[in-house]
Amino acid sequence: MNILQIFEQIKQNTDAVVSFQEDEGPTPSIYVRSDSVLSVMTYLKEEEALDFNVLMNHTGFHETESSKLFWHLFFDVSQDESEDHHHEEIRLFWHLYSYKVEHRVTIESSVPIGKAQMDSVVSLWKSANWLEREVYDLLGVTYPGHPDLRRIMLPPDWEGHPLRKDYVAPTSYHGIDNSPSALTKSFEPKGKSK
Amino acid sequence: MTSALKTEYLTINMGPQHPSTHGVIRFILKTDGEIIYECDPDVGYLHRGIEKIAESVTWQGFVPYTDRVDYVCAMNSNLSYCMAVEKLMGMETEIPKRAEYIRVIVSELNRISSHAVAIGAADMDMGAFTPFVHFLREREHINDLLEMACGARLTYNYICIGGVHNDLPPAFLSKTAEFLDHFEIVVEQINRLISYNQIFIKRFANVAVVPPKMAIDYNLVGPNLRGSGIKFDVRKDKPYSVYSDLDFDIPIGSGRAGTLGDCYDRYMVRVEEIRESIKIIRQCLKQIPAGETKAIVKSTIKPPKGHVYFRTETPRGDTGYFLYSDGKTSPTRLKIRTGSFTGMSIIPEIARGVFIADLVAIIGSLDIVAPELDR
Amino acid sequence: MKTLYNKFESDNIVLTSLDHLVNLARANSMWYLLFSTACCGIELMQTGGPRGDLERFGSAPRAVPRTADLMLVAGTITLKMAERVKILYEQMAEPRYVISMGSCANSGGLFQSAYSVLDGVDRVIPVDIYLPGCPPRPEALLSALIDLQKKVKKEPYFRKKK
Ligand code: SF4
Repeated sequence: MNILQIFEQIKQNTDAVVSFQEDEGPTPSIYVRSDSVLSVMTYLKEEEALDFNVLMNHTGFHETESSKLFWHLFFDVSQDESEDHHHEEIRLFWHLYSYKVEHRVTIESSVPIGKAQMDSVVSLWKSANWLEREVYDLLGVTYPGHPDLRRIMLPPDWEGHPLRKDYVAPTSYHGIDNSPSALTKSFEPKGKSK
Repeated sequence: MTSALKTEYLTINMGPQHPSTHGVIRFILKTDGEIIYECDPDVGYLHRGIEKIAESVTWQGFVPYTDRVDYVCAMNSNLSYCMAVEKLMGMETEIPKRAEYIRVIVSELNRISSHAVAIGAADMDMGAFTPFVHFLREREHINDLLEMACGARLTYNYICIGGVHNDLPPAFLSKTAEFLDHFEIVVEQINRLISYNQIFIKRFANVAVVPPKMAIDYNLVGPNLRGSGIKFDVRKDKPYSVYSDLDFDIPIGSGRAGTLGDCYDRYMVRVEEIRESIKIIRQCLKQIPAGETKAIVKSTIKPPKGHVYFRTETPRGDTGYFLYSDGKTSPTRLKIRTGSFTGMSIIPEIARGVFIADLVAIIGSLDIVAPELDR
Repeated sequence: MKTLYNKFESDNIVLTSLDHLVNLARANSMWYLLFSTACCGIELMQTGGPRGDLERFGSAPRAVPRTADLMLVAGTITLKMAERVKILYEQMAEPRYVISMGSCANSGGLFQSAYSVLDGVDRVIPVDIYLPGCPPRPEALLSALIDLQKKVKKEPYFRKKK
């Protein structure tokens, strides 16, 4: 099944707010509003004809674009307007695949940076467990419903989420000095430091 | 008499510096005597922040980093990344045929050397040191061949966006053919030495069984998935490069020494994949055309806005590169989903109830490489 | 020693300084701690393999820091790992030596700009020999070992250090 048919299926059979994004490079994706992600995922997994039995990848990134994304024009985002950083958000992606039907789909969603919260899909796919822990560790999205949400790559007492665009790397950790040496600094262009 | 004996679990720590954890991986084990009750892998001791670095280097400048993502099979990592970028730029069809064949030859050679390390390390963890040394010796031959092609022994940076950096030297093809003839015999010898050894089979068979359903649920990939009896290989099912023109089989586990999906199945899938790789390279050596080896690519590329998730089959399984481009000179987001990551995430589940010594067998059979896991 | 072999009729005496004798023994039995973190570890393995054959210089791998004389830091050290490196080093018995193998261990190398990588292992433990390269070739590692042996042979062991 190609992605357009999958999109039509979702639209007809669930009451989720979805839109189709095709001008986003070689793999078009289906945009789902953050509050209906779990219901769409459940549908995708449980529907016999779709049968997405693998979550291949889950990731996200910090979007700092000051202009609103185009789909904001279509959906009501008024509840986010009160947030400080309503223009900054974390975009999340899920890549699903089905070994039985041999088709794939990319689901996309986004959460505002001030309230980075997303439903966990661990109940559907076990592989989501570590993938969500990684997103939490590096991007700071919390997943209510995740059985064991802690940092995975970085030590538990690490501060900040490194893949956010405004992250500043620490110059020392547990008393170990990690600031760039004088020699390193001499090679750096003026006005830039770690 | 009522049992007044009070027992409690003992928590022990394994790693990060442990000779059999293949790099720096730590396990926190809760044990009941010799038996593992709970296993909590603590990863991230080699988290080098590659994904963050990607946001500040150019698209081409990231190729050397992919070498370091998975150093045991750097060519395959190069290939995955370059093909993902090519797909994003919509130039997959522009790659010259000769370049495609060279890519397949070098990455299959690298697959052999990676599987050799995987098999050898699994043997070594079981206490059989000799096969490992044999494999190191054979690996030197592959290193020599790849060094001939690109000048480096481990971190190649040979495959680039648009093709390969330079054509192969004239003697490469004949030397490769010679090596394959030699290596085919070695595989058989090593099989007789270790794979069919009763003691070895006793250690590997029926340990840490992964049923097919669990394998899919945890998204195991590559040899680990095929060890559970699922016939899926990206090279065959979603062919990229010139794999669709080549004829090869996909070995799968069949429970040949015990249960389907046990450590021995995963191990044997790798041994047989070496044979398939030899077959693939032989065909490539016959079919390789003359011609260009690099498409014309600008020195700084700016792929159009959009995202791609591209999968290729590396020795540790289906590796996916997720790229998001904003039309700038460097990626906005780059994420690497690797085989070791999912392989590691299944360990808490399958390590429950096994002996501590078998945990080493599990790690060896899943072929986990720390930097690929942590990135 | 070889020139004296089988030359004497009965028991005999050779005059040499005790330091020299002990250092000769120490330098030719540099057991190293198996501690490979990243890519350089593979080259370390290859060097230990049949072609490089580290063991012909008397260097055998040890799994436990207590019995090792030499720590070969092969690979990237992250901040999470840095404390463990220090603990491992402190567990080794004196006199102990460190070879920092590869650009990553020397200075952070390619990953210097990363948030989680330690810029050089010499920020946590003292280093005797820096070996550049990414990764260094096995020949380079062997030459580093020989250089270390030279250094060990010159050291005062019983004499007071100045
Ligand atoms: S110096 Fe290079 S080869 Fe060695 S660990 Fe660092 S990146 Fe890897």
